[in-house]
Amino acid sequence: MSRLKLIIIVVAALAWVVVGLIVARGPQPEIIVPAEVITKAGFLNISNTMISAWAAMIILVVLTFLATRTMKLIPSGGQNLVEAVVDFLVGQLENIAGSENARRFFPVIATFFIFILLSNWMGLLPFFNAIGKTEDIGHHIFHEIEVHYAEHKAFEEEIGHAAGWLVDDTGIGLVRPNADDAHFEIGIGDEPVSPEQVLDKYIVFLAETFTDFQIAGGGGHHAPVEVTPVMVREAIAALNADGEAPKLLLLTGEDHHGEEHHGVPSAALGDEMIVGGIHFPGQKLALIIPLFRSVYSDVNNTLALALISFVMVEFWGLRTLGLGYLKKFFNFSGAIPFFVGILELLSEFIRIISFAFRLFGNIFAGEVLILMLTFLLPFLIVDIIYGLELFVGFIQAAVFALLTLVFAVMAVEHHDEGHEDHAGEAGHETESQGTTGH
Amino acid sequence: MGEAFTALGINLPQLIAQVANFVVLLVILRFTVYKPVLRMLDQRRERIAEGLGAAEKAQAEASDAEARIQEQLEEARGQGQEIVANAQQVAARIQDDARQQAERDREAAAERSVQEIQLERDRAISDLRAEFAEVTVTAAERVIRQSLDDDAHQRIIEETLAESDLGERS
Repeated sequence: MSRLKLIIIVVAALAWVVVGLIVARGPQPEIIVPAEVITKAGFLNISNTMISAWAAMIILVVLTFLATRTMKLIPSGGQNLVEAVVDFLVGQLENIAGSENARRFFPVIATFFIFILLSNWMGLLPFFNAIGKTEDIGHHIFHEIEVHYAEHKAFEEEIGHAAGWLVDDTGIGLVRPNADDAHFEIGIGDEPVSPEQVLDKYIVFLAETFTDFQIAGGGGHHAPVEVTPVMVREAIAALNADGEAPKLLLLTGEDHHGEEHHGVPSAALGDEMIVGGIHFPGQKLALIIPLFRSVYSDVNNTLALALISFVMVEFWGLRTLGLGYLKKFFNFSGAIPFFVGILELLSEFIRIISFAFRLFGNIFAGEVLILMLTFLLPFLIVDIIYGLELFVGFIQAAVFALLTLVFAVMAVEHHDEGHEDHAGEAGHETESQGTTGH
Repeated sequence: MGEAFTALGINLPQLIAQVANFVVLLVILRFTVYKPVLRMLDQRRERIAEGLGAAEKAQAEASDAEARIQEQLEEARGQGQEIVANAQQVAARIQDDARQQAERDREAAAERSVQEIQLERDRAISDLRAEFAEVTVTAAERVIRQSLDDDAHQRIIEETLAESDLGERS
């Protein structure tokens, strides 16, 4: 009986996964390490992780403001939740750091924990990495080539993420399930590639993507390293034959003098063909740039937190022990203590890196896992991973906050047992500072 | 190093912006959450401690009062018993006195009656004697019918009296 049930459940689950594969299979996601830039404000790139961070901040501030706007001695509603969280955190801190230090460290540690936790969990919301703006990547790639040509610069690294998928000819960034994805790579080897060569590759790539054109001998969508003049001609012929396919806007020798853009000549065909632009009459090449992305899948953000953690730990250490704090790092009483001090100093800085990349690695990996599984098996399996990621998000927030706390406690400890009088002095200093601080 | 930074998307403005974000959040939360909530928690803890202290005090006071009342009750009971004992003593004394008085009265009355009886008897005797003398005289006069001198007269009387005394005694 129970065996029958089990079989039914397994079959239903498999069926559900298969249904997902048929119905909800999307284009292959682009895994991009740096956060996508949505818009620019001055020299500041407003990336999607930044927008998510702001969203998390606004949610935190508004909710806590509403919850604590009218504080009552007998709590109710949101005040209960906020008080429970604060009480829990204070209790944990007092266990580790003692009540005096706990109150001092509390705001920073609690903000670390709450902000990271909310950001991580928000990153699991369905619209993260899903909705966003579409970028007309087809024009964008040509523009890149043009700019490089005008500045006489060769391509030494991959341009942007010149890939995307084909969207509807209405021009609206609507990605349909099962839309084809296209991948354009320049394929830079040891030598830099000139803009002209890139243009040829692009033409071939367009022909391959939009028409039945196939490179003889070359397999797949990836542009071959060597593009022959014949190949380019055939590609252009194929593009021209199909009414829906993109068209090259060619400039003749005299035309381009008065023009703002000078156009780019083909490397294979020479000056005989100068391309001034590309027109997409039917389907376009587009790239979706998600509007929201998990805050700590961006190294900038984790690094910022790590720096704050580092600065706060050093600040607390200096404030509590005065200049005596530095004795831990610069100990001239012997060769071995000196060496140990230098190691301590190094580890202090290495912490920044480990803090930043522990959080980044976990969150980014989780995001990639979810994106790729959504692509491979859209239904069911992803749910398990979501549960796992909830756990990871909590653990990482707790780890970040707890490690900062532990390092802070280590920093404010009196570590020189040999000098009793000095320790007493330092303790006295702390007391007086404590009283003036309040 | 620079390439690694580019590949990871590290750029200084965003880094600074994130640090600023965090600091702003920290400051705001300090005012919207940490300070009021911690103050509230402390206040509540204080109030509870106060309440517990007051309850303890009240309990101590109550038990104190109870002990005092018990003590007073005990004392009152003692006093009552003393009063009752006193009263019983007084009653006994009064009873005793009364009995003694009665005794005395009775004795006095008896004595008086004895005296009265004695007196009565004496009087009766003297009355009887006088009457008897008279009777004797009369009798003698009658018997003798003669006039006797006074001396003989007296002597006869005396003799008669003496005889009557003897007769009386016998």
